Amino acid sequence: MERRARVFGHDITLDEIHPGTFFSLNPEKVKIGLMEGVRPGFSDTIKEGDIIVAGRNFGMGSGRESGAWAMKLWGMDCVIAEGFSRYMFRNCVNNGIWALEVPGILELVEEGDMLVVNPEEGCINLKSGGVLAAGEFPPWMVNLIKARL
Amino acid sequence: MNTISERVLGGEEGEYVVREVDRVMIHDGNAPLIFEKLRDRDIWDPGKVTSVVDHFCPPSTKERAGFVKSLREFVREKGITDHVEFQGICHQLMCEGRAAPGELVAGLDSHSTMYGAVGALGVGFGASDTVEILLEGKTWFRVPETIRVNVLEGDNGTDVALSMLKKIGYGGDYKALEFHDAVGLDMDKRLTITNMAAETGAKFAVFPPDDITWEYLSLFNMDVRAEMPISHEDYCREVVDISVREPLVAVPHKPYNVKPISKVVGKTVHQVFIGSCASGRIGDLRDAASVLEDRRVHPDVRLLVTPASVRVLKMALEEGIISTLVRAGAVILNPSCGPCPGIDKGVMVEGETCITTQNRNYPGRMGGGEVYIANATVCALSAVEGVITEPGCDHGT
Repeated sequence: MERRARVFGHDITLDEIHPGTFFSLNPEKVKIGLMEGVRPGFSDTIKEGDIIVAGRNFGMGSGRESGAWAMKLWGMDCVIAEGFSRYMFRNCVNNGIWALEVPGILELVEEGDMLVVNPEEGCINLKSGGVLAAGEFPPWMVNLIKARL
Repeated sequence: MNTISERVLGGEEGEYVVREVDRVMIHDGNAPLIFEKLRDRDIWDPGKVTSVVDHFCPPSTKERAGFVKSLREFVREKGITDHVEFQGICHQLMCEGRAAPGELVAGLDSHSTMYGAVGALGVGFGASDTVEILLEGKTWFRVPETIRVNVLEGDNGTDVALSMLKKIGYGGDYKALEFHDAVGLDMDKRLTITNMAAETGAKFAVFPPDDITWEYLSLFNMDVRAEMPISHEDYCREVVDISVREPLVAVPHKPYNVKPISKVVGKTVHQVFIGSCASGRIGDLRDAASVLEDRRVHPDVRLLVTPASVRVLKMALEEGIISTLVRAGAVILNPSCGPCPGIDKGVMVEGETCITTQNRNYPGRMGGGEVYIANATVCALSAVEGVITEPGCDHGT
């Protein structure tokens, strides 16, 4: 699967990933809220195959599921970060989004880079030819994610 | 089985376990996400579920009125009888006679760590996890490592919490905090600390129950005793000692960007908010009232106060605190989340600054603007002076 990296920094909070003002049951409103608190207008720039690549503690703070739901609504089936908050990790798993933890990835990937991702194996091929390995999921969690893809 | 988390979850540190929960809390701010998935399905035990309307409280748009109406219909259909509207903030209500020592309590909210103040292991979940829990009564956990926090000195809950945040940062993610209270903090302060522990990322934050816990719970006729001795330091991954001697302030835009108040005095504030689930308890309101007695809020500042629950509001009325606050120019909002999550009364716009007792100051948290976090005394003083003010250094003393 080829994916385009949309890169964000460290410590991006859920309040930035999906501000409370976009909380809704209307999928269109939820969609346009994605990353609106950190990069206003981001949703206008999303193309098919885009995924979010972020630094440490992605999704810290609130446990609102709207952030993971918005990614899902945009068709993002994986997200890569140097680390996830517990809430973001669980919310991604529960929405069938592979939350791939790759320490140090921000040093290696720039906005717009194309990545070839094999999420189940936790394998990410970089434009430079390098290969990164994400932490593994226990088999039961793989099943949980696959059931919700 | 050396830590409280290991004993309650029934597994070794790092192990994945499936564990039944004892109680569940849902609220209007997140519950709309679960209705569709639970349509025409029975939930595991309606008697163990508490439903609270505190975010859209009362609702200010038609869409939000719809959420609240849907929640009302949802609880009726599912047979959930413990549904509480406009009576207080969900976490406060859970700690007023619901969550009990030794219980594992799942909340559809990240500040559910607060139940640790009464000796329960409160833990937050997103909507999908909550759907599973409501259907099955159980979920999976990774048994967390433990950080032991020794509170050695400090008489203000917010300052102890800010000191903890300064030392731990976001290092509590996926971990449990156990508090050794060498000070004898009252329950209001413990509630603030276990609430703000969520900002370290902590999964659990628990004060092992003691005489202060039993005395507090007896106010609600709860005679639930559970032996939960604190874990020996040898079994904790990290030991953090807290000694607070001066007020602290979290500066934008992270709750753990904590500085001594002396570094931020003089900063102009436009709004002051005393409330949120991190505060607004009677101790905080007493602190604010003692500052505002016979004084006026600065003309360029609006002071918003939300008592944490109707129980707290009644106490404040009986003690004359509400009169004092109103005479000083404060706006008393009904017990609710208020402006803290940026979705209800009192949000701000870019270019404005607020100092508040709430738990979060992330970008956009309160709508727009910048948010500083401090204790209720500092907040009240800053409301009078119009700038962030250190106690003892204001014009009134």
